[in-house]
Amino acid sequence: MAQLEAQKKLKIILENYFVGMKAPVAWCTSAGPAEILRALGFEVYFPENHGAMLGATRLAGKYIPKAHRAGFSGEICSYLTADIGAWLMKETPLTNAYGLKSIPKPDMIVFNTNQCREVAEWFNFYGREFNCPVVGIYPPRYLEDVSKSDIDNVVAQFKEVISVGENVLGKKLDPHELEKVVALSYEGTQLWKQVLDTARKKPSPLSFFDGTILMAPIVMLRGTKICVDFYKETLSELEELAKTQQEDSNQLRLYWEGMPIWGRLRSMAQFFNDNNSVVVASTYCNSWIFDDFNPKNPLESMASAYTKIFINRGENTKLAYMEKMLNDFDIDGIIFHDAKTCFNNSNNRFGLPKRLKDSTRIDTLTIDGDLNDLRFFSDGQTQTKLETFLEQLKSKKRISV
Amino acid sequence: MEYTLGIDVGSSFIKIALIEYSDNPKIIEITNEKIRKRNPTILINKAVNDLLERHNLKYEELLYVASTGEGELVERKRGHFYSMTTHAKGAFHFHPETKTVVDMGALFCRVMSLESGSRVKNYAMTGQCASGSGQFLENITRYLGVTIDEVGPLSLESKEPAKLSGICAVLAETDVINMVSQGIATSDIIKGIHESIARRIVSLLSKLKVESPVALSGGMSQDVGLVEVIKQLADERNLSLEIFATKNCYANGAIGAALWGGYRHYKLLEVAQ
Repeated sequence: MAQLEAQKKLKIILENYFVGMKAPVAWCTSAGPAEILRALGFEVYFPENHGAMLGATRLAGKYIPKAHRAGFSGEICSYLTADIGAWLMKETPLTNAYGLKSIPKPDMIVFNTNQCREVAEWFNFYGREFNCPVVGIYPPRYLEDVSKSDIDNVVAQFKEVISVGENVLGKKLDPHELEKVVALSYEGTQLWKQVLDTARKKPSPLSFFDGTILMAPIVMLRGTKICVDFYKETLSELEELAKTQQEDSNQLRLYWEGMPIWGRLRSMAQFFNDNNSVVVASTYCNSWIFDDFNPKNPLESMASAYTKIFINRGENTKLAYMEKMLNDFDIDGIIFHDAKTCFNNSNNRFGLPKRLKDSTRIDTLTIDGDLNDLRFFSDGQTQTKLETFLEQLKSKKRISV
Repeated sequence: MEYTLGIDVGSSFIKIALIEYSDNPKIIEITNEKIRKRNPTILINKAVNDLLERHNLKYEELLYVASTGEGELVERKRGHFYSMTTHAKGAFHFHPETKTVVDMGALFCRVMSLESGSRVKNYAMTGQCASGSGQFLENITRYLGVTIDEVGPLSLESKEPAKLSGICAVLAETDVINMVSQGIATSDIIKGIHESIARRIVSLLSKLKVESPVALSGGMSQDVGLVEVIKQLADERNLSLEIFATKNCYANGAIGAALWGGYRHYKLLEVAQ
């Protein structure tokens, strides 16, 4: 696929975001309560995004061993090990990309273990390094249903974030500002949903690999007008593009479950393209669609949205979610990525592929790899597995090879 | 007479099949070239030229040249076919009773169940670890100081096969080094390795609930010791499968590619008319 205009615009947005970041700065996990921090008056920085940058630039391989030498295991999150390794070596890809000497210094750090416990160890490490307050949100985990008491639990923890933030800044949270930010987050997230939904068209104007790039604003600029404006333009461009594309019934439509392999985005996109197939949908990109945000009820709605994320749900809820996605996007085959350092987001390990196959008859494939640590990934093995899988799907769809 | 050429580029060997293409195709010659860290593209070009020269043929006279496997390494070709399709075709064509094909190559093993002739209905393959692959077996022969051709007959001599890690190639290699230092007979170590590989293959056969007969394919199908152990383990698990390997079955991919090439040539002519 040709580069979208939106991708060019994104470069400028990200440059402005990083270069323009001024104190006070709060660090936050990607599905943490960024709205509260923004409404308090912090600029918000996301270490996970930095981890993904280290993966995409393939610098992670240089930094991960440094974290291992500092005592972090090779089998824990390679965002964490790459990011901490880079910090210990006093390097960052932000230097080459935007001329920044270092990652932004935090005045406060907030994490939410709705995705994994690694973020707690990761962010607490930086709390010790920078000697700044760290607030952890520990929501109930792996829920099938999210109850009122679960929400109340998280809201109480959000109030602690507000209290610590107010102390750091020496000013009270303006409730109207929080409502405004949550309203923008809701608008942004709904536009992001519409952007991803353009991939329902045949052929899809968008692939998972484009999505992993285009998702930056919904992660990093959620709750801002910049994010909303960006997705309005992106949506309009994708809708135009979809109109110009001719239908191709031979194209295979795939679903990606699990983390991206950041250091192989381009080669994998090319591989699928060469094999007349496209990864049209993923749990990963869809994880930043938060339908529950409601400015009239900001804290409760945020607690609900962030506790209901896919990674924090029980196996039955995950199954039902994926069944719906497979149906909505008319999927021919599912690829599970077993990321060796991301236990929490490798959803193949408790029989989900088989249960999905049984309920939908859609074939699944598991590939071994990792988000950042390419020592766990074999290009040759993966290509052979994928080729075999696509061959089988084409055969079932009666597409000539 | 019309000829088609199939070129199967594997990770260890390049197999080339020259076929006299008709309603009743005949294999004219099969070549099998070990890559040995040489440039595969140069190797393919030379092997094709030599093969054609031996049969007084020119490249332009060939009806179709088809690649399979790592097909992008083949410069002069008309089309590429996926390797499951070609292995299935190669196995089925000369043994039409075949219901299941096991491709046992240098990198991985793959079981395919067939329907309506050579159409692949379902498949399963070994995972990321190399311990289910031919390359692993070849590496081990270096520790043992035997050639790959000696492996099969030695395995058949074993009285008390050694037990190896079936999960990890690195652990299995360590096991082998320990066994050598303990003085365990080479034949017993080799049969232990065969059992480790065969267990993976038989698990795949069982998982797919395949039908008999099962045609073996790929380089490891020429290892009589491994073939015997696969049969034994399948019997022990009461799978009731007739499992067989034939003289040329290591080249089923290349043979299948050549056959598919001829089929596609005439199909395209039909469409054009």
